[in-house]
Amino acid sequence: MYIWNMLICGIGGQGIMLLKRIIENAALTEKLQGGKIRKLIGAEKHGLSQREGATDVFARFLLLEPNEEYNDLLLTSPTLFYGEADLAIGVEPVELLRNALYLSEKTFVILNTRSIHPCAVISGSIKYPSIETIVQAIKDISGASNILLVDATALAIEKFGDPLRTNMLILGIAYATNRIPVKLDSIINIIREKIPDPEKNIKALQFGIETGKNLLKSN
Amino acid sequence: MEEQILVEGHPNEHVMLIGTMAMTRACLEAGIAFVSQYPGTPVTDMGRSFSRIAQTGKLPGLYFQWASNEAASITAAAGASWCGIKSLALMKHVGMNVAADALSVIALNGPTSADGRGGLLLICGGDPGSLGSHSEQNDRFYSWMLHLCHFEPSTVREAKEWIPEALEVSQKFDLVSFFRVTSRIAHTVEEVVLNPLADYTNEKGKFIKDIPKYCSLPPHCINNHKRLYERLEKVEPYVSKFNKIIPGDSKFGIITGGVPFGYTVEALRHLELIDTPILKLGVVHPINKNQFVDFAQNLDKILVVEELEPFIEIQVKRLAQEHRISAEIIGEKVIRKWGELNTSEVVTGISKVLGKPIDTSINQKLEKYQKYLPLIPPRPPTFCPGCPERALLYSIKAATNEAETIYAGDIGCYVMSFFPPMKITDWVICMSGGLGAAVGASMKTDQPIIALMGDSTFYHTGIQILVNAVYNNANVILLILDNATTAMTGGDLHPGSGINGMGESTLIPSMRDICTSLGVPWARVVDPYQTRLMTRTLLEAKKQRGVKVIVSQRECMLQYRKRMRKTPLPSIRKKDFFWIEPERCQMCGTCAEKLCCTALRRNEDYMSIDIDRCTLCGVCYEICPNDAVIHTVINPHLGEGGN
Repeated sequence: MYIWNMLICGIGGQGIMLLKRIIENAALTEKLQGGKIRKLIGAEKHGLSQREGATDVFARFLLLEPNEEYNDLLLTSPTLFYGEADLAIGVEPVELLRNALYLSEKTFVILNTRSIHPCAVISGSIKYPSIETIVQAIKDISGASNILLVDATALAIEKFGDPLRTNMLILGIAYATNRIPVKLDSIINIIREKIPDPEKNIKALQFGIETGKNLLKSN
Repeated sequence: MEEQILVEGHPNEHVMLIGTMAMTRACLEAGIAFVSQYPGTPVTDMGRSFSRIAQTGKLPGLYFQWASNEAASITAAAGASWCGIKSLALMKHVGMNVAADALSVIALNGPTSADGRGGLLLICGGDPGSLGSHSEQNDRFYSWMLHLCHFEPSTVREAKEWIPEALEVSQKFDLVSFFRVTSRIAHTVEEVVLNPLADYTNEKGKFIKDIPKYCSLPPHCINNHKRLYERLEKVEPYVSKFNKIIPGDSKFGIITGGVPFGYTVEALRHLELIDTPILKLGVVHPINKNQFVDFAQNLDKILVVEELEPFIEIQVKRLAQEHRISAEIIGEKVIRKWGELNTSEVVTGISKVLGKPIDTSINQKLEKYQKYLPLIPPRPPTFCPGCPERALLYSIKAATNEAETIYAGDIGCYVMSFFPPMKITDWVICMSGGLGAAVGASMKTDQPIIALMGDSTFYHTGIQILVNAVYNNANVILLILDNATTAMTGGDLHPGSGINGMGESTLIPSMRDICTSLGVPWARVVDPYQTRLMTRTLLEAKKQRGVKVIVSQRECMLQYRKRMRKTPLPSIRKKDFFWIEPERCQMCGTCAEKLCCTALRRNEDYMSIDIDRCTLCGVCYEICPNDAVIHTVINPHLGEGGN
């Protein structure tokens, strides 16, 4: 038995719910086809946090081997216990630091280095920490050592001329780490079925996977 | 992604649904044909879906309305139910306060028609942890005070499965079914199985007269009160099917319900205490006596795990006393009464009760985290780039002396103006509470008072308070922030939107005319993007005595962009944009500190604009004292980048 936990964080309006739901829906199709995933829960944040506020979402899958017996009580909480994340995606740097308690040695981290300054930084009352400081702090708090850094927003603009492809690129990079227990075909099918501009997004996803592989090599 | 599933999803189909959508589908499976709601997180999206579905006409007879407030919503739902229609009212926890006056009598009289048809379901969104609210008020005590049958699902699946049954309970026992979910249910995604939709027809309801049932005055109100206890007594054994005992050999047991059940199960696994018996309550009022006694009689110690004030705990302590249960019952002593719970909190609570050592590795991690906290810039929610309300706040700062002026805040996006660096809000109470308190303050202080009120708040309860202000000749400037939508909940309709929940066009009332007809002597309408005009208008208002109203009128930027995306626009970003010339920028703080738009970026010695986040509102261009903001428009006839 294994409970797979994912954390995605960023700010309201960055599309992190959609990112989570693509993975979840892909996981559901595999569950229904008799895969290892037997139960899924995901927690989201809506409302006030949409107004550019800090947002974090969780996805949790219960995975069982064929010989293990299913019990509904094996996975019951929509939120994570500290240190439980297997995969953590920070779509904005300080937001990942804010959620560092959910990370631990086992966590694989993807961090989009493109910062969005909150009011207090724009008005000059507090400085936005450097990426190096953020990564150092995350490592110190959590012990996580697998951290991939990428300016996915710049990459999306450079490659596709559209910042809207950022999340698909990040999903691709995350997928390249082999930490998402879902087949690539299932993800592509969900994008094709449910997301506007599927072909553009699939292209961004595949470019993301390439990018991810290269990043892993150079890490 | 989800909405088509609600109507077109097939029976037995497995789908991932967020709590609100799962509940919406459940309501359609239950045959609810009347829905009334004032928007409020975490249940707003339900109304939005009902509205769209009702307008398609695919489910004949399904009616939805955006109500002007929660009292209007609950009374409308009661009226429909009294005509024999299965009805639903939706609100957030604090909406219960507005609805409570009416609900106390509706519950007393009973929601069904005189011949036992209809049924009234009240879905209420609680919000421990204030994830999307101005308070985390514990709405659960209403079920006790007003005698409601109170359901608390622990999962999305339960929420979906129980809604038809909760409606049936309402109809069968003539009780209001209070279906309380927290943000963690409403906004959690789970796999659910669809059931067939109910048969929808255009059949009309019929009201059958029954004066003793519906007219609340002595002697009927006393008889109905007595009858209410009889109804509650009947429902108590019936609700046992929503509760569950998870057996275990330990002499230590846990009673819980709602989302904390999930945290409890995982906490027990972390602590390797899986032999702990659990009584999971799905109906927390009335609590089934027999189940409690069966569960508690052989235990030494019981921990009650619940969020916010001890609602289950005080009820089971009373039952324990009545039934001579000797087990020690503990709850609020070890489980905190504020904020949202999580698995870690429950682990700590259980450890305390059992005298187990608390895992220090978590504390070490927390200590490290605390050390880095000062590094993390806070990111409270704020105004979107291009928000007209941010522009208005700039003008308020320009026209008033911040040290002496009282800024009476209220509920809506503009509540966020109390966050630094704006700090234009000195108090927040409730919908229209800002102006309400301003009326009193203006009688006893000579400080200038500016009250803020959104358009949706104006129609919700604001008009009544404005009447009080005018009647008593308060000396207040009221700024009505008219952005043509209930923006805070995500852009929902209100009586000033020109369209209703069924898609019918309606007359748009003139806010200024409403104010002047109520007797407001001085009222103006100004576009907040025109910051100089707004500042001048505010300065002029300060010279008048009595109630002054300025309607700050400009559509919500989010709504505007949503609307415009439907029409084909040229790629505006590359041909029309604002940018800051670094040589001219003096870092004077006008845009950064007084406007503080989040499309701005602070660099070492100049400000810049994130072009992909800028919405082209042009307010920074208008206010920059150094003319450093440049508006570039490239002639579209010359193509990209000019000739």
